[in-house]
Amino acid sequence: MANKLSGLLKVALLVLVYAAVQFLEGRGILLPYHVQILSLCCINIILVVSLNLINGFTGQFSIGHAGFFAIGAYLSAYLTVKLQLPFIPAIICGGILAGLTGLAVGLPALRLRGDYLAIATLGFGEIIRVIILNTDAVGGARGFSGIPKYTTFGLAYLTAIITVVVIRNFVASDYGRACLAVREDEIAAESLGVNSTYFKVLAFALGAFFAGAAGALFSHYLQYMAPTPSQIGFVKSIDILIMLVLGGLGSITGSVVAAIVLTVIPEFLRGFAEYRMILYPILLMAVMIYRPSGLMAGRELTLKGLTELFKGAKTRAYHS
Amino acid sequence: MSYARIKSIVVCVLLVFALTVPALAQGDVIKIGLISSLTGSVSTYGQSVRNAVTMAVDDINASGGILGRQISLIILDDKGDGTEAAQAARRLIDRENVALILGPVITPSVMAVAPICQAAGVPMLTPTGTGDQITTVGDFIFRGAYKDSFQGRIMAQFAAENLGLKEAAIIYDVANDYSVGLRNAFKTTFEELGGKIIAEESYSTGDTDFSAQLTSLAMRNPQALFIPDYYSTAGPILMQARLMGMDAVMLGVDGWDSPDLSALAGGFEEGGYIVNHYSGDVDSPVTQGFIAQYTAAFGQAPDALAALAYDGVMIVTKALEAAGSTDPEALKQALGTVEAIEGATGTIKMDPEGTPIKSAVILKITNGKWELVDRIDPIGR
Repeated sequence: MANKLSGLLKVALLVLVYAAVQFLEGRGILLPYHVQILSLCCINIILVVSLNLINGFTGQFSIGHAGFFAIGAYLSAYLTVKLQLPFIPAIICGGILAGLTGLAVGLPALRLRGDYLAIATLGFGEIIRVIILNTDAVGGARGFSGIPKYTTFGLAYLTAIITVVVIRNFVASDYGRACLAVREDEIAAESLGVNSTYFKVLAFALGAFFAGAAGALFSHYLQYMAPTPSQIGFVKSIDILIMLVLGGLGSITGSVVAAIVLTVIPEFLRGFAEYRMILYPILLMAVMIYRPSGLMAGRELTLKGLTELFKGAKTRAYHS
Repeated sequence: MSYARIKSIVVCVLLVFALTVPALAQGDVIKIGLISSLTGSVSTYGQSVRNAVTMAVDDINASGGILGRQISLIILDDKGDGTEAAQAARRLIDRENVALILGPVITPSVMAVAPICQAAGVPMLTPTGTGDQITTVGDFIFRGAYKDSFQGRIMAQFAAENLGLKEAAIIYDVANDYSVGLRNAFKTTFEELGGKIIAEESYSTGDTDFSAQLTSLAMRNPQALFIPDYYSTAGPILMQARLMGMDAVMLGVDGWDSPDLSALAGGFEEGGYIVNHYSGDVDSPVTQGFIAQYTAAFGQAPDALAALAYDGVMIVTKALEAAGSTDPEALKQALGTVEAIEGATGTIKMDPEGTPIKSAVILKITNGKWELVDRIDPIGR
């Protein structure tokens, strides 16, 4: 009963956030500028949470996430622009192709471990970028322009929720437990009958699928894709990784919080001109010094935890 | 709750508040937004643009402003990144209610901002973006520089007609839009004018060793070698080609224009020709005045980007005066039709498509200095 109630409460909260955004936007309090930042937050949440499944929960250090992102972004844009496909099927197609690529890349690459895997995935990301750079059908080096603006806040928000729910449930399931076992000790997991290759590839493909979906949302959000490192190359991969590490590996709520914080902070700092890119890294360093395992450090922020935190604070206050 | 926790909540609330409260409306000023790359890999470009624009706007304000109103300039950084540029544009349009956006500096950023300005009906003018596709986004999008294809054509025209060359080779960056666009335009025009491209080689952004490609080009012994790339790559190519014994005439583009070229090319850039937007040698009072003022204010000679940015402000000023108001429709009309603007890069006339019609200059490196060789007026567009 309590579980059902807290589930309902969560749904109500999520709906409330959406309704609040819609209401404030209608009243002109939230400008398109703010809604655009919120949409970008949602897209980054999808990217970070999906990378968390691979890096945080399964322990496979991948830094090629932008590659999957790029596949989703370009395929979906191609489908909506050239073939006039509706947006939602295009998102799904983008996700599926990214997922299949994840499968194809994961099978050989996930035999590698640690640094070697990191380098292999980095290489994969660059291969994708170079392929796009040399494909005239998607604009090549010129970039892909004229993409319709289909991404709304609602759609990005919904996709982010789906991502978080699916990945949370995956992690809580038998499959997820197996992934955690692989992360903790691959040999021990193997000796207990966990097919480590199977679970690693599964997590990799699932993460890639959601990264592809995020890409689809992104290309229809920016309306222009440039094959530059900061857009779809290793710089993008590193950006996602920074958010993940800052939030804490293995914490979904940490990923969500970090994605939001690191999307919003550069906006605050924009007025500082040249000093902006000094302040931003200082903030990152401060977090890493004071919270070396990330904002959430592998823990989750739950409704139950929150109420207990407040109760705990109260009791502590009584005692002091 | 502990004091620290209350404090952190208060800080969070204040931060959210700061983001949501729209900027307070200011008095009767004309608001112009500038998106420039002040940080990131192309930050020197962005800082030149920022300096020149600030200088021009200060001048206008000191002499009474436009239409009797002062200009309020809001400068935002985009890190040379499309996603950031898009955010900056939305912020300028929604929070600051700017009448017009100047910038961004490089084509990928411009392409991310253009659809936003077009949809919002806010005119924008990039003083420096040369990518051909920029002005095709819509009728609110303008630029202050010539297109890549125009630049490539001018170089081909100069090589074929003025230098009388018959055979040329090209080495270009296949992964860079700018380089590919220039190569295409050069090739087409050079062949139209009866020349022949006898060999072509390509490389990818970030490559540093070009000996394989250059060996193959050197075997064909071309009269000229066209290197359409930025100074950071053109420099090493020039050096490696000369050390290999290639004696072809070296032809370049505006991307070569950097104080660092000489160090990177090891002095082997001597004798090379480039197309550029502007030359400090041009004997016009506006150009010379601009150079003197910029040098006095910032302690260094202006580069082509600074000159273009200065002219961007000139175009906008003229358009605002012609429009008589900041009404976007009127301003858009005016931006597409203003002419006879005396700028640092020459006399400018805008065409309704959004690109200025102005002459290009050909410079030659003589004794380590860029010397003005010729001014070429556009033939057709």
